[in-house]
Amino acid sequence: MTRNILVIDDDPDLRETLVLLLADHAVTVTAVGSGREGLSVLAEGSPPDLILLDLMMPEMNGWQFLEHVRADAALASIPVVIMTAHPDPLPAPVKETLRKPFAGATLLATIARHASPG
Amino acid sequence: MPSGEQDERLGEQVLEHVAEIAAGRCSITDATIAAEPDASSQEILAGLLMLHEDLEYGRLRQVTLLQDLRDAVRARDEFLSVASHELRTPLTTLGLQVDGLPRALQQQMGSLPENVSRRLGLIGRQVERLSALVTSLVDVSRISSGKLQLSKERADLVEIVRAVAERFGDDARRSGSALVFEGQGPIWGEYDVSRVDQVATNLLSNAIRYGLGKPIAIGVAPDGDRSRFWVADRGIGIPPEHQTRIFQQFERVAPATSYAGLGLGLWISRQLVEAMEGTISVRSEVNAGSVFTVDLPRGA
Amino acid sequence: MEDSLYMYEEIPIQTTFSLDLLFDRLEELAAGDDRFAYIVDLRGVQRPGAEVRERLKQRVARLNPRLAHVAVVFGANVIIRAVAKLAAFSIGFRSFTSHAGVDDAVEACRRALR
Repeated sequence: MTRNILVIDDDPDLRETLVLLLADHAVTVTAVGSGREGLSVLAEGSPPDLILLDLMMPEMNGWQFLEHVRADAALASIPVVIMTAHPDPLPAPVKETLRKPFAGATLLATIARHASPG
Repeated sequence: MPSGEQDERLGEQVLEHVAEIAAGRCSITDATIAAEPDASSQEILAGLLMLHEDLEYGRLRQVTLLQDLRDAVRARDEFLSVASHELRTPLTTLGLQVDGLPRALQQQMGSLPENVSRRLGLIGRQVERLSALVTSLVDVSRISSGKLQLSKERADLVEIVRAVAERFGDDARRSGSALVFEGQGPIWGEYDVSRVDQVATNLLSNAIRYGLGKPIAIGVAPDGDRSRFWVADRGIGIPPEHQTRIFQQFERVAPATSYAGLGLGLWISRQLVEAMEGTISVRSEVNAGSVFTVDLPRGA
Repeated sequence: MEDSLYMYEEIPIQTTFSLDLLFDRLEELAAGDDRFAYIVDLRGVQRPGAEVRERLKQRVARLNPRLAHVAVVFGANVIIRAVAKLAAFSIGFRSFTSHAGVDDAVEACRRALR
């Protein structure tokens, strides 16, 4: 069974790179460019195994998206990993971060931790 | 009033005023000056009043200058912060593409030709170097503005340093230096793993860069209730008069035409080590090599 | 006034701007002199503050190498006399006198220029 992740990042090149890279590793990526689109993807279909979330996005930033997700019982249990360039540890609701720039191997290890294959 | 008493009174008055002025105040007014009996006492008080004004003026100017300096530093730090943030996303994409290319190519071509593999390796290393430079820039601005935060965890110092040695295996080989890791673990303690890694990385990359292809040793050992790690090379060495300077910001001893680098690494390393309540020191001899030693507490 | 002798009439309330203006003019007039002297008329002047005094020191210091003599004319104001003397000490005038009237001041300058 392939693993399923949702990527929310406003950088189109990064989205495309993640889709391509992870396709080679049996991970299906749904990539959207904003928090709003992310919420609508979550509203339909089955929940992903993991959400990779960028923080700095126009309109709805990562923090605001997190609030929405936490408030919804159906979504609150989906693991969320923050992708960020910020050097310091992030405050409370954030439990796990992928610090940019991260290597492919680091990314795969993170995904494996939250969604084991087949 | 007889002249002797007058002098005495004037003398005391002057001393009182001098004390006031030293404290930043002055109670002399035009009226008090006019009230003095003779011209020379008037001149004395007028002179004191002007002294007070000059001192206040000078002090105000320093306050303004200081504020300007603080504003400039803050602007610089904000800029560095924004710039490095912007740089990190394209670096992420670049790095991930490079990571993913070998596999994608292999699927197309069956196996990866050696020269393609080497070129990908070269590209990947440039990405790492860029990332390291960006990290340096961020660190400099955060350290300078006192915003550095450490996050300590229970870790084995031997493993942290060994990981760095392994990561540099290829680089060392490429420059001809045999790399030896000396350390018997474990040495458990409370360490900020990524910062210790950063310092060890800086020292080891310097050793490779200035090592002239001679053997390099990197080691870890306990030291009473503290811990120690070191990097020793047999390269160009550092003249004694430069041995403190190298830890300063933007200082470079090696000629810029022969050796690349921003000159930030050792300064950052020292700031990090001191933030971790440790010490960093060097023993070195020109053309014989250098040993950099970092001493760290083992934590609570 | 005469060859190499200038009259500087200070205005009641000085600013760094007014100082620069008047000293620029003095420098212009004295441009061709190896040595020159000037008379400063301080009658009617109000006490200058620290910033003005500092500018004064700077402008006079520029002139000092060629300055043979400065003669200051005071009114009754003791404080102004103290200001002028203080300025003279800080700059290190080679030759400085103070007078109650302009004629004495002119004489002093002429003697110094000989």
